[in-house]
Amino acid sequence: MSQTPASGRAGERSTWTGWLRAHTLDAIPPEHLLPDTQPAYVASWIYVFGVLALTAFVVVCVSGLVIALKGPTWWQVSSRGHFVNSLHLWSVELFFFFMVVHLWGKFFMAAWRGRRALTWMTGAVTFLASIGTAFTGYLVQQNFDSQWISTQAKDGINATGIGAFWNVLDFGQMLLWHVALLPLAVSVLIVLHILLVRTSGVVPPIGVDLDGRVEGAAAKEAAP
Amino acid sequence: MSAGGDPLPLLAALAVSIEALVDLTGPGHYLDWRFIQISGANFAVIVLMLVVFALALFLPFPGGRKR
Amino acid sequence: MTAGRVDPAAGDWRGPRRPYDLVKEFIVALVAVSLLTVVLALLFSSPNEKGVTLEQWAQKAPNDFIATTVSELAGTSTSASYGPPYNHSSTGQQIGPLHLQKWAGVRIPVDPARDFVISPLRTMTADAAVQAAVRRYEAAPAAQQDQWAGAYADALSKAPEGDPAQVAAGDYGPVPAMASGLLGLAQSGALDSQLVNAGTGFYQADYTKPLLFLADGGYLADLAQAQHLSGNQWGMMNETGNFPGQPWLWLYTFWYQVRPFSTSTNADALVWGLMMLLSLALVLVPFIPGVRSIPRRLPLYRLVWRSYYREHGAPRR
Ligand code: HEM
Repeated sequence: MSQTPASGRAGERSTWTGWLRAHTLDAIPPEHLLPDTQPAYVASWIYVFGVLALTAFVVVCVSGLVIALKGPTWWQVSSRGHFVNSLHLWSVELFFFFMVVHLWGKFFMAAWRGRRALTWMTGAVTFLASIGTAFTGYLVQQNFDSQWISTQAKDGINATGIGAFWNVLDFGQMLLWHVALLPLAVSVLIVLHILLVRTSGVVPPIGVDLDGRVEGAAAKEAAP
Repeated sequence: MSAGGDPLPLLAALAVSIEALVDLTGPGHYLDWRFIQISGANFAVIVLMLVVFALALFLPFPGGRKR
Repeated sequence: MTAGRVDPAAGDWRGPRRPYDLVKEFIVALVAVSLLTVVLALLFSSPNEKGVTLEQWAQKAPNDFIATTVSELAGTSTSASYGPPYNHSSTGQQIGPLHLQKWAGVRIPVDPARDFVISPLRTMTADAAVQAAVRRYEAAPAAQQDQWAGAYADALSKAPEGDPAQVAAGDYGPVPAMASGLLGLAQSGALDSQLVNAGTGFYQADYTKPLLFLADGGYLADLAQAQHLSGNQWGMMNETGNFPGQPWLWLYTFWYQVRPFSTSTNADALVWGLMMLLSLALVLVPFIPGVRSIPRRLPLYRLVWRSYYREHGAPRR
């Protein structure tokens, strides 16, 4: 399978729409977006943790959406609600679990090589944004955890000056951040992150050039 | 309880009928080394992450053979 | 990485490829993770320790409630002496020369004596004794008010178990009557709804005031301590019962256990400043000399790509 070179469509521009389509296709050619082959070195279980984090995030969003459909007090008074809350909690634990293993993996693969620093950076920012999202989740449970965590956390956040604008003791404000603003931010970050991965392709192994030759290795030919 | 309009009625009914199989609501267990204190549950999660990371590196990936 | 050379990993791979079904991988992962979530939820459920009400606090720990009420009047409680963003009674914490807390200003005004004690007492219009006490307190000059409240706080701290019934005689003015009035109001359950944002009237969404008041007391902290949730118990990463909490906060909560943070009154500002720096460092790992070379020095990457290296030769160390 050959990958079409990412250029040559920009000539199509005669309308604004055509220009946008051409540039989008140039930036993200479909065969990069949804490839059906990968470089031969993509053969390790460590590669599945990005997808696992992504799917765990989907489960987090779906279970959270069910809770949102019913409103914030539902899970406190209904055993079905409590079960959906359990789904939400455990998918979050899985999400972080997979994300951290993914992060370790990408670190030890130095996966930021080859102009992929932005991929690492969007990943790291996603990690931080996810921590904020989980934190606000604890604040809107309307139980002992919420009371304790909010009253403890306020001191740190106030010490940075942020607490004056972002009041962790204000249930209404935290609820909106948790169910709307932060999930939106995390989703956008994940989309960017994955688009970056797809457009730059999976990083080659350390010490291997783009033709598949291993630097300094005895000349075993890397014929396809 | 009617299932009308409730999402996941089957699973939820199942969950209600068996509640939690493992009760984690009791008093927590904590590990102490000098100034380090960690709950058994968090410790388990962290150890499991390391184990899974190691497995991901060591287990052979199926189809890893080149055609 | 050799200086001056283009990054050998930048660009499209021209080497050997193998089939890979991205969509299938996603669907299989989605099904697997969904099932795993359901199994975990069925097995373990989720924690939900009931919240504490002011009513419960006043009934279970009346002496603590009274002491807290008096400390609000005396201006010695945590929130009465907090500073920004609630009031001007201190300047707050600082990160070196950065007085961020002070610069952000007082944007969520809270006057604990008025908001937590006097205003709620004023609503007890049917209680003539309480109304008389409030009138007497308000008519007195500030110095006198402080004197009464301070003396009563002192006396309470010396009484056995802080029991108001066993306080030594002294000149406490109307303060004891006000404190026991508020205790009665709280025990009836009425204070819970009164403290919730009086500003919005009927609808309630902002719990700043009741939470600050609750946290000023010792009752909430005692419950948290028993569940290993306190700051000095690595509490930020813990959850009630035997549930996993937020293990990803391990580094943040770690700093609070060690000097200089564990003994500093400025610890929150210092730890937050440090964590912001470390978070920035995580984001910038690809650019930090030394850190970005760690993966090359450790042989873990040889495991990841071992089948490729086996077929095509392994790179020099
Ligand atoms: C919401 C969390 C995240 C999701 C859903 C996610 C998803 C993905 C996916 C699907 C891939 C491609 C497959 C793979 O190599 O695993 C990937 C690659 C990558 N991720 Fe993430 N990621 C997340 C967080 C992070 C974090 C926290 C970091 C590091 C700080 C990170 C760094 C990277 C890097 C550098 C790559 C490129 C890998 C390469 O070229 O081989 N990601 N991510």
